[in-house]
Amino acid sequence: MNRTGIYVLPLVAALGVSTAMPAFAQGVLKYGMASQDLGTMDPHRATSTPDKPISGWVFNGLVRFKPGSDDIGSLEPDLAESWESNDDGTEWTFKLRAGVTFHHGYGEVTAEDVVFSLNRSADPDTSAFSSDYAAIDKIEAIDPLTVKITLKQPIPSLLGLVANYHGGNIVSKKAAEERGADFATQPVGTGPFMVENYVPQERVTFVANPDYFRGTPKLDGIEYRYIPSDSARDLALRAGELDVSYGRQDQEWIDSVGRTDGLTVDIMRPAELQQFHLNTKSAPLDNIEVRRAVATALNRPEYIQFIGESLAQPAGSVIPAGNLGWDGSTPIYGEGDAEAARKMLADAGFADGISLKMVQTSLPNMLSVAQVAQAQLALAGIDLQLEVVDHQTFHAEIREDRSQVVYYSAARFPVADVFLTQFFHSASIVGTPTASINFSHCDVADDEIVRARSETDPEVQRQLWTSAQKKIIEHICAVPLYEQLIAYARRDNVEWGYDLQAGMHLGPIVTELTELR
Amino acid sequence: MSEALTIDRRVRRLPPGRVAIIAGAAIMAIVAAAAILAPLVAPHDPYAQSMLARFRPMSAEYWLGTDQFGRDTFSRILYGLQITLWTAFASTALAMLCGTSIGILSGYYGGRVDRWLSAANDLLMSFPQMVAGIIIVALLGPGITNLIIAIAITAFPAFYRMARSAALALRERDYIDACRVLGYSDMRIISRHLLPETLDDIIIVATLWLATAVRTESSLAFIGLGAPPPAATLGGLVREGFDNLLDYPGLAIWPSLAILVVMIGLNLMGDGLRDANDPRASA
Repeated sequence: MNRTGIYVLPLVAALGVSTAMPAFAQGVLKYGMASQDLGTMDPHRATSTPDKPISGWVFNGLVRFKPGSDDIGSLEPDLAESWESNDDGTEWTFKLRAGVTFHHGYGEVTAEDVVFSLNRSADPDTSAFSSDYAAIDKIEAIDPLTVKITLKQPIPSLLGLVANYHGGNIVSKKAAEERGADFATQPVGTGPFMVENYVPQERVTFVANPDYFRGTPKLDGIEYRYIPSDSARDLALRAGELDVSYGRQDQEWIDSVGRTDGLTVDIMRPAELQQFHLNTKSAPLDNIEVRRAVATALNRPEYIQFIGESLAQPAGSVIPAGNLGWDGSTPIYGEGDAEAARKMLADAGFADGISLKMVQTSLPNMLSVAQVAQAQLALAGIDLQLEVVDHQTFHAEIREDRSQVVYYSAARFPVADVFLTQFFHSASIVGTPTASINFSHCDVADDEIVRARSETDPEVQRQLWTSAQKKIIEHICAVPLYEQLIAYARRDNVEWGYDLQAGMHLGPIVTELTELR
Repeated sequence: MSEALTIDRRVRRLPPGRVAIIAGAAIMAIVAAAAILAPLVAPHDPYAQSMLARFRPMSAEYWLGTDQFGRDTFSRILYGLQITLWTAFASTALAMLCGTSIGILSGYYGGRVDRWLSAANDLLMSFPQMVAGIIIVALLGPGITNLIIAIAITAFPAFYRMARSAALALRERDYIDACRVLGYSDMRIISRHLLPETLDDIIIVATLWLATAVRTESSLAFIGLGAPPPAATLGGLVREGFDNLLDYPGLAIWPSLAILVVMIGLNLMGDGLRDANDPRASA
């Protein structure tokens, strides 16, 4: 009689544990994100805020930003143990760490995987970041643990292209080839957490990678839950159903969560530059006087009031302030002078006002900023017609050149070249074969951007970048509104395991040291 | 004798129906007046933002407080009523017009076209209303006109079915045969004899469907398929209020109450009219 019990009990216990694991295990970090669904987990395609944090958990680069930092000076060895370059910075050789294995039995990381990954990042068919890799001439596997990168000309920071960020994430060649399009939902990397399961519009579950080369993670896994409503996420956090939650990005929310026992707000860099890109090739915005009117009607200080000073800071240029090469000396329009804007429009032949089409995400943070702009522009007789769509559709539509005004919030690898190239070089214009995210069709600073890229004298390089920013601002390709830090809330028992100052993946990176106390 | 009995019953049963009609009509009269006179009554511009007046509590200046953009909630509810009621009236009227005329023609003439139309109508009816609304708005794109069309399509089957069955029953009546014998044209028979006979029923259905249309509009707006910003609609206001539900619950509660009042008013009216007109209801 008892014997039956002995056999049955473990079985029952095992069943109970296996079904209950995702919900009840102490060691699973429940992380809530403001999105309806996953876009992609392919790190070479992940461009939206909700998709990016995943890359930081699943993948490694050859080098990495020190966890919690966004400083290029903090770059440290990741999959590469060491590296060296020739004197003019055109040949780089990386020595890989031995014995690092990919998830799900895809074998050891070899130089072939690195060559494959970087070539994949450079290919516009497989990567959203291909334009970053334009300067690469060839990537070779010298031996199974040595990779050599040859450049056409030196670039400002090669390490940025091989860091654990965007195209620098290293994927398994075998897995990417085998899985094809399914790699977006079944990615294979080397990071501390491996993708276990994806339930559309609900969650992605991750389990700890027991063979992680820095040591087995303290957490058992991560449950990444898609909860688009800010209030629903807050309720879930307060009820203990979430451990970490993407915040509503404003002062009210920070104050409210800050007053709650057991909860902590994490405010981190990078400051994302919030910018309105104006399509300079589409009527009536093709007329610079009309763009000037739009810029004049926008009231930039109001955004800082709206978001609150804990999170928002003034924007001084068309690239983020922390970038190497940033220059804030060119004055920007945007004091909210509706009368002056009306007069500019009238002088340009639009006395009755204009109407502009804007495809806008339903993500509450961004939608409310767009509504502030809508009201500001309305005062000047500019009718900003919002077409509100879900976040993935928004990202798709603006890349198909369907929005005359694009509100884009972004931070990039903190060197001027990256931001300038992606947003303002003519090769990046949306709708072209080499398209990146040049929504404004801006092409006035191509020469400076390209020359700065291979300029070896830092002073001359800085001048070229300054001149590029000046031209873009004066041509009014974009109106920088403000810069915004990122706010997350966590329960007090979450220990990140590092000093969280910044997260290049726009969310706190979860490392092998992160734990729930 | 049976005639007397019926009348007696009707007399006894009438007051509740009449009370409901009067109460419903009174509520709707006030609501409609508030909506129509919104530009005169509203204390503030419903679209004017003020970064310095965000999340104000209830006060003499802002009766129901302000939202995250510093817009006056009371004024937005008045304008929201305007758009919501207009959407509901326009879509119900459109559905009534199309559904009734096609339904009567279909029932009067019968034949293959009638069978096809009925089958198509049944198909449309088998979709839950919200699902049909979501599909249609998703296809047409957001915007008030498209919203009206979408709600009208979801309401169409009710009117079609009612008008068709009335026409089917009436066309066999002797007096309609008599009209045919007299050589009246089909149009004359339909417009002079069929339509007036069905009108009572159709108006009752329309009143009840108005309430459904308000609910559909609010639900679609709540899930983000309503009129795009900055338009104030009741469902849209509830949705916006949800962003701050924990700290400023009033932003979601006040427009919800407005929806509730409208629903109560329309349902009272519709139910009252139905009871008053339906002898079986009092049997």
